[in-house]
Amino acid sequence: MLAGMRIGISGKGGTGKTTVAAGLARGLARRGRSVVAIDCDSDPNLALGLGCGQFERDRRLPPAGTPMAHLVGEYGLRAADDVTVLLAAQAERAGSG
Amino acid sequence: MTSATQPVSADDPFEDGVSRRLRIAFVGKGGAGKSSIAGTLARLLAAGGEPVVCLDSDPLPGLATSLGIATSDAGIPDEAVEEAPEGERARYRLATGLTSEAAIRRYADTGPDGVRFLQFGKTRGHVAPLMRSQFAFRHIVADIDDTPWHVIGDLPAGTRQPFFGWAGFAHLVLVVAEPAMSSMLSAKRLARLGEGENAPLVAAIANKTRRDDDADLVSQATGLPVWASAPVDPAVREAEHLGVPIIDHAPDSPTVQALRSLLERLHNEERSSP
Repeated sequence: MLAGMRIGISGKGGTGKTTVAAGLARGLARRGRSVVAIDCDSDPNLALGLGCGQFERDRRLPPAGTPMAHLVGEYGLRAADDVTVLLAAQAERAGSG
Repeated sequence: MTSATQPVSADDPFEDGVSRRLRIAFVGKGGAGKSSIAGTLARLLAAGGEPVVCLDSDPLPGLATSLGIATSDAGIPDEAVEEAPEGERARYRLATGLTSEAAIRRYADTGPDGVRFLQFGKTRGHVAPLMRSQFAFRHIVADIDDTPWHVIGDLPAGTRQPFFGWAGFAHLVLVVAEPAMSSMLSAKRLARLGEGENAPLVAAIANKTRRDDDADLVSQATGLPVWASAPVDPAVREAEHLGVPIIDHAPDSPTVQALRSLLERLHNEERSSP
């Protein structure tokens, strides 16, 4: 069995990180791979890029220390092409995070 | 009270110490145009003879280019802070006798039109070497209201710094948003900076608009009033490609004109406010 790939995408604002991440995730999923897309941005938009229009309403952030096995099943959002999206953080208002 | 538009010598900002100063923070999604707009607005102010200091708290470069300052990655020198006595909340404080005003005069770079530029430094690998510089920066900004400078701050993309108090100096937060869903979603989140006691005024700048109703779209999607609207502007792209300030490359471009109008509006708001 092939080892799962772990790909991190970074770059300056506006260069297309989220677009590339979403495209890669969907491309791999369409080729039959199980894909978890993790948005580590405190201002997350990856779910939007993956077609989860309602993620602002549906999202739940996992508490610190949540076991990996529970993360995907309980906190993942189902997106296009069966990609699962996890949101790592979201700063919402002054002093939060 | 002296009019805020009256030219003031940048060498002696205290000369006009009674006039109200702009305290603006620019926030928004990555690539929306924060640095381009912040830098250009600062240059326009400075060109009018106003004393302006720009604050760059982004660990990645951007603002210096739009100002026309050839800057290094270096932050504020270590000498600006000293270890705080044990028991104090912060680890460092400004060096004894050093005020915000003196620190700006001493450590902020000077650019075209006399615009000043203060950054806590750019990340090179590990962030720890910038720790003293970051403390110095935050202490200087905390007391910046006591200085005679107009303050234009350019925050990093996203919500983290704005929601952790890095825009606390601002009386006005301008959220730069493109008429694109993700950019407007970020702007809607950032609009919450205007909630709560002593919150700043928050308004939007619609940037890179393509259609006549794009500014309305930004306003509807973010819940913010749109104070300026700049179209997709080839001159901006050229300037960024060349790494030169927009205001030098294309002073009559639609973007610069939109910001001239914004500046006029800001001055009018200042005059009409109590």
